[in-house]
Amino acid sequence: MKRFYAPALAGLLLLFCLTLSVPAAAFEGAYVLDESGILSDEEARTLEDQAASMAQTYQFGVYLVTVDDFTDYGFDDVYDCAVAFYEQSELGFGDDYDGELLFMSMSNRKYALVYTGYGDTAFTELGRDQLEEAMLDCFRNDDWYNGFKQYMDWSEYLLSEAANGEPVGWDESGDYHPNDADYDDGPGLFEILIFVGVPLLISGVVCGMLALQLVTVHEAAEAREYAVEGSLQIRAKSDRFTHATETRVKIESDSDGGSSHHSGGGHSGRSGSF
Amino acid sequence: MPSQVTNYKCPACGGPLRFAEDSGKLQCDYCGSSYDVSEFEKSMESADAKAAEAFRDNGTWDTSEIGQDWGADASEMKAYSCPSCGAELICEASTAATSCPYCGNNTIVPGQFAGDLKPDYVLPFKLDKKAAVAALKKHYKGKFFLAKAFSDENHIEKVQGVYVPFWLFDGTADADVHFAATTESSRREGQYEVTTTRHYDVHRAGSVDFERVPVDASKRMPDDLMDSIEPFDYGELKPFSMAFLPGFLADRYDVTVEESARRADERCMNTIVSMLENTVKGYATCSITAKTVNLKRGKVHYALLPVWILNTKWKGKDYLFAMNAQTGKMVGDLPMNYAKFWLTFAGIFAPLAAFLYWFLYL
Repeated sequence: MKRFYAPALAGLLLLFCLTLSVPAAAFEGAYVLDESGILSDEEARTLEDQAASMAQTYQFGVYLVTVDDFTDYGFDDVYDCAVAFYEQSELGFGDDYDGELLFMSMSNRKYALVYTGYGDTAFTELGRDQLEEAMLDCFRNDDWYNGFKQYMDWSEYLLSEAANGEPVGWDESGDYHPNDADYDDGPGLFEILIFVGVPLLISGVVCGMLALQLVTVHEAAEAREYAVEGSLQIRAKSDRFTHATETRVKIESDSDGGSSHHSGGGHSGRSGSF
Repeated sequence: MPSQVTNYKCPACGGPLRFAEDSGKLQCDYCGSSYDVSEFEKSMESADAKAAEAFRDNGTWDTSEIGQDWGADASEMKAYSCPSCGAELICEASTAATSCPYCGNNTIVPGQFAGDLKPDYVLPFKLDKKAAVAALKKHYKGKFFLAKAFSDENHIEKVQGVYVPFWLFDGTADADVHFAATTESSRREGQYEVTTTRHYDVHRAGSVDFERVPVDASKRMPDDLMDSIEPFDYGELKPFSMAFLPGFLADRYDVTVEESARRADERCMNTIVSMLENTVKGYATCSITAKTVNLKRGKVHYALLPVWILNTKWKGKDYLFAMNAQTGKMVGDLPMNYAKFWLTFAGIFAPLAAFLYWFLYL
């Protein structure tokens, strides 16, 4: 069994960046390395314990790393950086290095998910979608701890489903989400609104317009044709500013809505922005 | 009840005259003679006086017994005798010009346009019956959901040229309106789109004059049908003369000025508010918060305007069409083919829904 030891990662970081120094708030565990210091000790320890429990139960490593800026390590792509971390730290369990890594670069809000070995089987595309969506919902609101908790909970759930012989997405009878009892694999309300509501609206508008051709009798509401030309006299005209209101809406960039998929070199995964 | 009837006979052959839309003259279909309206009226004046004298000399029709039998309905009916064939006819109290169903003679029912009931203006027919029928057929075209059997079987049962009585209202509308209006601007602040909405109290006050806003004064004519064939070109209005009526039906008004004024008032008030709203520009949204509208009512004119009315019945339901006999504008609601409607609806909905389901979910 290979484990992810903090000294190994610290050595790796030194290799990537000679000037790197770990902040005082950083947490270094076997599975969680909060190099950018965004978690409290208690939060990091909770996540570390959950990852350790999963490792013991499933012989599968669920790793979490946060750094300030992945480009400090000489990479242009966050996924490549995460894979390099995974390989050079010899993360994962068994001959196939079974494991999963969430790599977060905080200053440029980039992330990468790397799956290796058994991770490719247990974490189906549908499962990855669900995990990613739940996690990113929190990250977009700078809710770091809950985002990492979603990552851990979803990983545990997907591992348990796979251990039961039915990885998420293989069975249409429905899967249970530990943090969302109402989760349903079928189309949600939004999807139904799209593929039922939009065609209904378009059909209604087209047919309605054609049907209106048959109706040519209307009571007149105005008498504009009988207004004497040039007789309109404007007696008073003023536009007075009274007040202003402001609304703020979080921008979801293109990369928020989706992520890049990667595979090859014994790994698969995704990357994007949050 | 009056029993005297005026009809226009050809001085050359004695045949009935009718007003010809194309020439604007009185036309005899029997000998082909035609007469200018004003000249004919002058020549008729002396003849009318003689005829009236002769009529008095020979006594009048005794209709007292008939009137008693009609009871309360008598007030809504008129009886007259066709001067051409002698047939005794009954028509509605508001009928002013009609034709005899036995001999086809065009007649003017006496008394209908006497005194204060006499119209100020008449707008002569410009388009004939053929044009009306052709316009109806054109009206059927291009209507995707029109029941095919309705158009194919050509169900026109009756085509009548009718001079419809209208009140024409003059006046001035004055309004004072406040609007709530907004403008919007957006900017990006980091991860957020910030939209600033600026609110304004917009005030407009003003007035506009109206001339000859028409309201039909016949209970028999649906108001919305008459509204829909507007506008008429008042530039061609003529001082009223009965010489324009032969060959067409004509009604006298049976809706009073007071009853009609409400509709004219409403149209004028809506128009001034709408015109003031049109001066509010440069805003993203604009809605009325308060308004005060006053009307200065002016003269009212009484006019007969030309309309072709076409009737048909299909599947037990009456369909009424009207054509502005001056401009040719044809209106009238048509029956829908509901089977075709729902098939089309399903034909659009089903493939679109399937495509979106496939595109978004599979």
